[in-house]
Amino acid sequence: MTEGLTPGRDPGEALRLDAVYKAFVPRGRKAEPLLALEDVTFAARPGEFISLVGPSGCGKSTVLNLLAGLMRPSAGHVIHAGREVHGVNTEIGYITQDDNLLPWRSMLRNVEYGLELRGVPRAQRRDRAREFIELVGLAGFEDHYPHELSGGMRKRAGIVRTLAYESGVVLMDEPFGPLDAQTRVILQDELLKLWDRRRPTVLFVTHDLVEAIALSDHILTFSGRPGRIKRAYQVNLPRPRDVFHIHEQAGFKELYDALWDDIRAEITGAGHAA
Amino acid sequence: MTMSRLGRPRPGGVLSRTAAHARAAAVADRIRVYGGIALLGAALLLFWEFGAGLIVDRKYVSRPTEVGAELYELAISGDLWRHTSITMYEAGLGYLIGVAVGLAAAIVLVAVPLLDEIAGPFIQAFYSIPKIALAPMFIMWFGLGTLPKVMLAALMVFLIVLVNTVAGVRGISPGLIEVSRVMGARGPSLLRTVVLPGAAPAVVASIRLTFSRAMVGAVLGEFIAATGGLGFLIVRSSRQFETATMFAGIVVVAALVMLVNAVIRAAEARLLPWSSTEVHG
Repeated sequence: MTEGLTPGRDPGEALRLDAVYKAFVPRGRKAEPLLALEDVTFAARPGEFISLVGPSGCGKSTVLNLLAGLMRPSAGHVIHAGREVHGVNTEIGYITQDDNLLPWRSMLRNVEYGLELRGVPRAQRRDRAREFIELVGLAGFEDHYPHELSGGMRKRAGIVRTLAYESGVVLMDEPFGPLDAQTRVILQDELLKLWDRRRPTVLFVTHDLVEAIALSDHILTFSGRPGRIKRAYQVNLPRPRDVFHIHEQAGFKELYDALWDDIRAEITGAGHAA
Repeated sequence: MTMSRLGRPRPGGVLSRTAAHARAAAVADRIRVYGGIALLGAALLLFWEFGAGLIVDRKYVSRPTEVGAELYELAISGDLWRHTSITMYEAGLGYLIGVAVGLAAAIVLVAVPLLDEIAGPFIQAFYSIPKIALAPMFIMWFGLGTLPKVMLAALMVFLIVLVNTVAGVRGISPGLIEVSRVMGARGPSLLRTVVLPGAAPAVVASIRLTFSRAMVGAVLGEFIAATGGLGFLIVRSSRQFETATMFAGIVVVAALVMLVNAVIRAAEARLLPWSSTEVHG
């Protein structure tokens, strides 16, 4: 384990998974239980940006669902802010691959939604929402419904909706997956700037190794099913990062090659797992 | 290759010409559609007026001018208003009861999934009975007044609203519900901010389309035994070969359903500007 991903229960940790196993019983007649996660242990300090990469179906999203309290571990401990996660965890932010904006709310009211559920008074939450909308260049589209916005705009709205209520931990599940390459990089840049305001702890699931390097302090590679942590990498590129030229940074190529070797071994060696 | 050009139009000219073409094409399209509607309508009316009598005995098919004259007579005598108000009362009250009971039952089934599974086969069995088959029984139970018609209309509406409301709630994306819960929605706030608006398009569509069913229920009840109402008017005039009166009744029923549908549709467009949904039934 690299620095920052230290074992042992530390009150300064933002979150921790400790010897976590997760098994599923798929629906069906002769369903055998499947092991999705096997002995997953890691911890994140406040303010760390950690990416999880690995082959499809390796349980990366399951890690996020466990922290969000949408699933319970089959064994082991899932700890957030020093407490075991029980039931839906409303103390964290969760940004999914689908933008999951409420189709019946205008963009502004979508951005307000988390604040509204937290009982923030109307005038105050409206100001906060407008401030964040401004930050991602969506001013002027406040009254548009989600179906009237482009994919990139919906994604921005979804991100600021979660960041606006400033939870200490933010989970992001391939948030830029469906976007085109150019929009992706622009949104990565915007995300880093937003993150830098308060520096929440971020767990970021992605398939994109360049994205993982450009954004993260640490990268965890996962093996194919059952998902286990293979290795932890530290990203020693200086911040603030220039995501548009990240591949020109010294050290980028070595890290990229190491990650790719790791992942490729999982994809090509998937024969024994399948 | 080469990139040298032979001539160059003004860019502003390209835009304004394209816009003008698009506008002209849209107008031409509109004219074709509405012109087609008017032509087909006129052709049907003219055939009914002058042609239908050549194929079938005129006394069975009447003609539009006679139907119009009969409608005028009925309106003047006050009969039209009397029959219409009876049918609208039966259909309207039955509709409201059917919608209210259907929504209430759906909320119970959605709140208690086990109950939904237990009730499922019974709902399907009930769904597959043609409600028309129950009409004579309702007359037997509830007599000749308006009550059996109200009940029949309610029954025609109830199941469709129930089934579509449950389907509407089930159709809400699980991801949307999960994300909302993580953001802090639960219980009443989840119901208010996600479940109700999410199910609303299916519910409203079923509510809109079932008014015609309520009319079917009321008119059918009147066919079997009644002393007033548009169904009564249609059935009595057909028995006496008063064909024009019969068609007048049919025209009024159709006009009422279309009118109410247009009102509900307008309300729907105002209340749910984000969506429109198919209805099952």
